[in-house]
Amino acid sequence: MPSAGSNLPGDAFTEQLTALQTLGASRFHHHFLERFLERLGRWLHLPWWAVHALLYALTLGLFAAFADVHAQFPRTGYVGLLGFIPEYIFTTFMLWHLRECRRQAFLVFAQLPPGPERLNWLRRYWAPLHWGWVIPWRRWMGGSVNGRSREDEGTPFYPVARPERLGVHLPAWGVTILLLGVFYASLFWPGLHPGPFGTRDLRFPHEWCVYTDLAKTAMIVVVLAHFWALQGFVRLAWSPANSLSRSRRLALLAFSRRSALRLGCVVGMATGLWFFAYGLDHGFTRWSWWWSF
Amino acid sequence: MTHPPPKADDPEDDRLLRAAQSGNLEAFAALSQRLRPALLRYADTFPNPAADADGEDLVQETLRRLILDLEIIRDAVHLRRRAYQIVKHLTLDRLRIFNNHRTDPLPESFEPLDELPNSDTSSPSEELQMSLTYLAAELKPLTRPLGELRHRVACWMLDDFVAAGEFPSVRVLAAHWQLGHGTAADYRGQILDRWQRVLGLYGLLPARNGRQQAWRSSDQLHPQSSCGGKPGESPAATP
Repeated sequence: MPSAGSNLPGDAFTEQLTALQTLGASRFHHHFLERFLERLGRWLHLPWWAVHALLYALTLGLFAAFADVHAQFPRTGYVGLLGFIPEYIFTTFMLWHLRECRRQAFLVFAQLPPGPERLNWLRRYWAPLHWGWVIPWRRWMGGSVNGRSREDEGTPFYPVARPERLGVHLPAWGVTILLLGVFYASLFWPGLHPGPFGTRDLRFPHEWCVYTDLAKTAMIVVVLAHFWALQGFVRLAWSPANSLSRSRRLALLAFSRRSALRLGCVVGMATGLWFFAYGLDHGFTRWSWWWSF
Repeated sequence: MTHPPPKADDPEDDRLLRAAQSGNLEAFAALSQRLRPALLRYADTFPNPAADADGEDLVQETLRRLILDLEIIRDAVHLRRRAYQIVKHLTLDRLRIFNNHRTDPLPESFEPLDELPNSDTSSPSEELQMSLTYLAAELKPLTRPLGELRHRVACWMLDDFVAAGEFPSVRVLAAHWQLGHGTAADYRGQILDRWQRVLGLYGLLPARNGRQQAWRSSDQLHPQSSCGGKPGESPAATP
């Protein structure tokens, strides 16, 4: 805190700056993929987006160097690798989007009055994006946890400390690995991943694509959690009982609307491009339509 | 609009920036004090149609964002450029929000939308309500020459008058339309003058005299009163 005769303008503003500085310096609110990229980037002296692009390029290079592309993609050859582009666009955008939303969440957090309520808000709506979910099943069953019933107001729904006390913890990386496992399992499930024109051969060598598959799955999980975070913003903007100014609420609503639109546009574009690449390789059959979902 | 050219690299700025990047909040405050005048001047070059936020608010919001960006800032020139960028984006956002929400204001909360209308409040009778609705419909076209925005404000004032029985105050008007209080008072005065002038031209009002003062002071229409010439009577009740 500032000492006497400091340059800091006012107590409330100083408190906001202190909160922002603390939150900004902490890596706690970062997604595990962001931490991985940042750590690798620090080692390589590169920014996170360059590391991400490098890993994608490396995957593509390995695949082109060691796999017989024309045998894997007899219809399209190297054009069959077009599917990498929408995946790269999607994952890069989501990593950037995650940072933007976090920045907004921190700014809102700093402008709420100090106290447990704002911490609860941050944990409840922001934690699923980087930390995961807690399913408070014991509370749903009607019991109380630590002497508190579920009717208690202000109880953090997503407690960061000691989640095992409150229910089943589904960490973000756990959900990602689970989804990735389901995805890989579906590759070997006959009939679920058809080859061109209904054949059942598995051609795409996913053993080269560990990072890309992991990034894609992690960001799909982030998309799911993203709407929960947006709900947190909108609830705060519409809530009658908080100290945000009217212009700040309008700015928050504008950010939420813009964020949802941006996400929809980019994810839609990436999905469309992926669908087109898949269609080129497999033929535009009924399976194309099915997989486009 | 382009950013003002950043100053030449100042060693003191660089020193403060390095200290701020290492977590010294005092250094960041000193740095922000050095940035503040230029940012205020730059913010003043943008239009502020809503007149709801002064330059100081904008600078504070800029500093809040800057402190989150400290670790990616390379030097003092980069810092200044980043600060100007943030000011520019914030002012443009403010303009967009004003344009989007001028006709779509934000209600205070969800609750009033879910509640039934409160029957305890003293509302006018159905017949009187109908008369007020007709009166409002007659008065609405009169303010078109004042311009689009004032005309819409006038229509909103009439709707509010029909619903609540009195004209909204300057404070309510300013809050609803995201206007400064001075601007809202000007708009309100111009609209009321316009109604009075036009009604006077049609002979529905006597000449501009003390009655204008009565209009201004009460800001209430009393349609149930007759159209005689008694002092204190509301002029708009006549049609």
